[in-house]
Amino acid sequence: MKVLSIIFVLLLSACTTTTTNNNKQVKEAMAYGTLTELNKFDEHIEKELLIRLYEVPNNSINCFVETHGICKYEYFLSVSTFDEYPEVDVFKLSISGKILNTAWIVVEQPDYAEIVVTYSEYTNEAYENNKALDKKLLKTELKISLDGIVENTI
Amino acid sequence: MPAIPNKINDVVIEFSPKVNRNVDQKIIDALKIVIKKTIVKGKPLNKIYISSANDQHKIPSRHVQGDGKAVDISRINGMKMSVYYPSSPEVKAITDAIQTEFESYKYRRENFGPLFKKKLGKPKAISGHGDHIHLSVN
Repeated sequence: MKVLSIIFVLLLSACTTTTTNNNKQVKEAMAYGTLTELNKFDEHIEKELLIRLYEVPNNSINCFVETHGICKYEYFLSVSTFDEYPEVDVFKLSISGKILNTAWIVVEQPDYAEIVVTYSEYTNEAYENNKALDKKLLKTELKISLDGIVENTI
Repeated sequence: MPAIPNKINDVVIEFSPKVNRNVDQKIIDALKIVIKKTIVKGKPLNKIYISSANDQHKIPSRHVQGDGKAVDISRINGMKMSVYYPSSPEVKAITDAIQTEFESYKYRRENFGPLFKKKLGKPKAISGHGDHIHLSVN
């Protein structure tokens, strides 16, 4: 029973991201988003995938007082295998806000990666403008493969 | 990281001047399995030519991933595959045997050459590789 309960809780806190078909958002991410090469971090860890993070403003949310600004960012990950003819895909993360840190986890498994992402629910500019926003840091573990991304809230 | 030696199982290894021989240990282990004098009965393998290892490529190629996880072999017993694979039974037999033998290696990944093109044991529809064997490891 205890095991079943644990599995149930894990299922509740995990969500799987599949390939994105949102061409408009992908275009926005490529056109004016901020690109971060995640493989340049944690150099001591050998990476099994080539992963790029695209940060793009979410323009549908308004949290600023008496002005307009970026409340949250949305995120896309492009994933590539290391090959002469790589397998590739692009995934939209379910988390949003402002990613502050990414930390790779050592996993010696081909075509697979685990990254812990630390992020805030809103941008720093939003917190400074609107003191009513609850400032808290969140952590999510990303389990990344070409089949999809599993996001586990830590 | 270890370097590809000048001889493996009594077979001479020659290198293009551009080759960086320092590679992942798994590549050397793979070469020890597939480079054998007696890989084809009656057609001794005396010499191979490595045209690329940990060099001349860009990410995401496995040639330059980590410590270097791919190697290209383009000549058998001094004969270029591009010229002799179609016409020399010796070059064809040895080239085919190297590709076939590599499939038994635990960490084999890409196996592209004149005989077939496979990735992780499954056929891969790509062009090229008629003039060399590209072998990479996980």
